[in-house]
Amino acid sequence: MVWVQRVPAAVTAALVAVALLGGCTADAPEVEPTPSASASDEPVFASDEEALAAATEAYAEYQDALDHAFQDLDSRALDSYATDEALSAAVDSVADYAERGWRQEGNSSVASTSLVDATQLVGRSEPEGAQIYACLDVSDVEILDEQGNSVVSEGRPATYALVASLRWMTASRTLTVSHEEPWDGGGICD
Amino acid sequence: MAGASVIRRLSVWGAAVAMSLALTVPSAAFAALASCSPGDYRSGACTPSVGIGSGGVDLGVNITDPGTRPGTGGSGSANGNGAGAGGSAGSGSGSGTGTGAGAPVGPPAPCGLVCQNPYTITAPADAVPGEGRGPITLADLVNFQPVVGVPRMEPNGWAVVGLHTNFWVDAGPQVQEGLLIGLPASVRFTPVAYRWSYGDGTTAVVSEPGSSWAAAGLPEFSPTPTSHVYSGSGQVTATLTVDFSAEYTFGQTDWIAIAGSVPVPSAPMAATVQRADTVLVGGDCSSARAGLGC
Repeated sequence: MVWVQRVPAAVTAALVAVALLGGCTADAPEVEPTPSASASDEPVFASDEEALAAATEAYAEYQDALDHAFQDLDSRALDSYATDEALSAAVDSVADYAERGWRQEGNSSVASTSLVDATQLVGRSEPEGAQIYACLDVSDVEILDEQGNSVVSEGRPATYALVASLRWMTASRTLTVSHEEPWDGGGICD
Repeated sequence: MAGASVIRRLSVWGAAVAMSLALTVPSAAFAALASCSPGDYRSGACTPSVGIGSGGVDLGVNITDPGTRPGTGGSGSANGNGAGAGGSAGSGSGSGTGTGAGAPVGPPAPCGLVCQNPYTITAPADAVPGEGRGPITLADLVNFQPVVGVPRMEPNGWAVVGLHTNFWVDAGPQVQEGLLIGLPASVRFTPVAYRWSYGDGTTAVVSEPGSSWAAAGLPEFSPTPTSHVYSGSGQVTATLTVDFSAEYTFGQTDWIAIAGSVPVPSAPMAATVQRADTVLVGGDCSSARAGLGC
């Protein structure tokens, strides 16, 4: 007979062991880890809060880069902030603006963020990525055509709720936006 | 072998689940899933919407193209009819730039694990070739966790050597909504096995949650599918793990089963097993309404 019940017991035991180890190391004399040693196996993000802060910063930089791209009609800088599907969507979108002769004035801002899932990020020495909700404020964004007339839809909301995936880039050790889509589930920009 | 590896995998993220649950999923069951480019939400060209379509819920966007872009085909006709329903935002003259021959209204439909275009979502059938990712597995259910009620025993907190002690729990099928691989989905958990560990080294795997003697219409100390007879006295701690099967749907399809099962441990129950001659009974055994244990 398989003792599935042992699984939680094993987890509990592991947690206790971790707790005990924590106690032991706290009592032991502190050895200052060298940065190179800690980089290899210590978690990059120790908590959800750290993960959200990093993801928020990366996402805000991505939106900032998008603002500049739509203002200058130049998407070359985007690949430092976006990858995968998010990058191709952004590049296509900037090209679309250029084709139409549209240009952005003013900047968007990330009003708020919250964590969807950071389990692939927190506590890992080799993180993979995370998902966040973001409320993007576009109320100061103006889109003008070649004649300088606004082409912003009358019904454009002041804020957009989005859900974004961010991927950990091992080489640059940064989070980069890999996917983004609108979220209509409520609770983000309210 | 496969089962064992699944369980180990779950136990690893089991600890993480509680953390993420507190942070997850704002409110609504379904959210719009449109592909809506950064340029679209800056210009207001996409408005997330959820509508009822024929035979199901359609998730998508209305593209209310402001102005110039021809809808389809790009035949150069000067009246740009934006593809959006109710495109009130000045979709009139479309002067000049009607040359964008055949520019699609929406962004190109990404087609990865889940194919979606601006109007519909197609749930994955199974493994998606070329995506470097297998089918949805239990490990993807990080935003979902089935719930098991508090297990019960009677007599409550004690047992009599040689007599049946009855165990049961309230744990049934449950549907939860949240994000699965980043998309709003429903996940249905159904109990498939109740694994009791009676605390004396014996275990039982049963397919039903059990019920109280009263609910089953049985006299006290009757055998039930979930009851157990302790052979020696002492302190015991009984535990229960419920295995749930999981199915998911993205709202437009039937339930799709996920391989494996999710074991959910319940709170342990401590009990004292006593010999019959030391048991206190629940009332006067000589009275008309005999108490528990008589």
